[in-house]
Amino acid sequence: MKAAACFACACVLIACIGQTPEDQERDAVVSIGPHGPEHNPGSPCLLCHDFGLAGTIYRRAADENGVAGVTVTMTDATGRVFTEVSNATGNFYTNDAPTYPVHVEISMGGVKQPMRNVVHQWGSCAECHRPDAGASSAGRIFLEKTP
Amino acid sequence: MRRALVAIVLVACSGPSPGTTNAPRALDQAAYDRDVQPIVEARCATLDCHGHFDRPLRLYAETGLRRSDELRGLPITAQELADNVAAAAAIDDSLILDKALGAMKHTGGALFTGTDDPQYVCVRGWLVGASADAAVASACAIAATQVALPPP
Repeated sequence: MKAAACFACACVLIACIGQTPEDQERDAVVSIGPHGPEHNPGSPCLLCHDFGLAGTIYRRAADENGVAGVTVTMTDATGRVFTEVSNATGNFYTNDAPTYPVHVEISMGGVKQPMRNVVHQWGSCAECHRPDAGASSAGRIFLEKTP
Repeated sequence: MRRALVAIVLVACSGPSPGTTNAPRALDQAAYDRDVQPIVEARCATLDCHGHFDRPLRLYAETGLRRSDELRGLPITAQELADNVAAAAAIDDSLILDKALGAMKHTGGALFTGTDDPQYVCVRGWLVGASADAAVASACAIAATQVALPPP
């Protein structure tokens, strides 16, 4: 009886520990598509991946799907320029480690959208650019301002 | 003698009586709005730094944290600017300045190049109530050109 009680207590303890905010955030990511560069668009990539900077680009703010072929130009604090192109689901990532702050601009077909401010430390664009714009979210990263 | 000692100890340990707590310092709101907020927005208040509800020094900005969802995309409000001043007034000047200089542990690292950095001179001048001084005003004018954000 005593052993069973100890075992039950141990199980409860194990269940209660080990959940950091990052763990909880990682658990909340909805898995979309097979694992690879095109999976989980719109999620905070650096929760699981060791990229320098990564995110998802949409054509318009309200679009549900990302857009391919957008050039993402990242200029870091030392003046180094990293360029990536969004893939079929709108995802892009760079393995280069930038020196923050980083200025980001997206462009396609002559349309340019510079980020008004800079990225200071979070390489996951989706940490600040969540689907719905709000008090602590700038909304999706989008190319065209038309609704 | 014993009673006198007890009284002295009690007075020494009691601290300020209720209602006489240290009032926040009076900082120049107009000078903040004009000179300091552009620096704060560009250097401190992004969503991945002090533009975060969980931060001890929470700072609002048009491109950063907003007081409510519906303010996203709108110019910064007087209430948000007042909240930023209140947040700065609640902590010691040296904490703000030393962290921004990188002289104290600061996740964001050193924001200013040194004590002659126009942005530093502008922020420090405001904190010490010297925004009207010619040297501070001149530094703020230079800083404004350094931190200007593109239009929405």
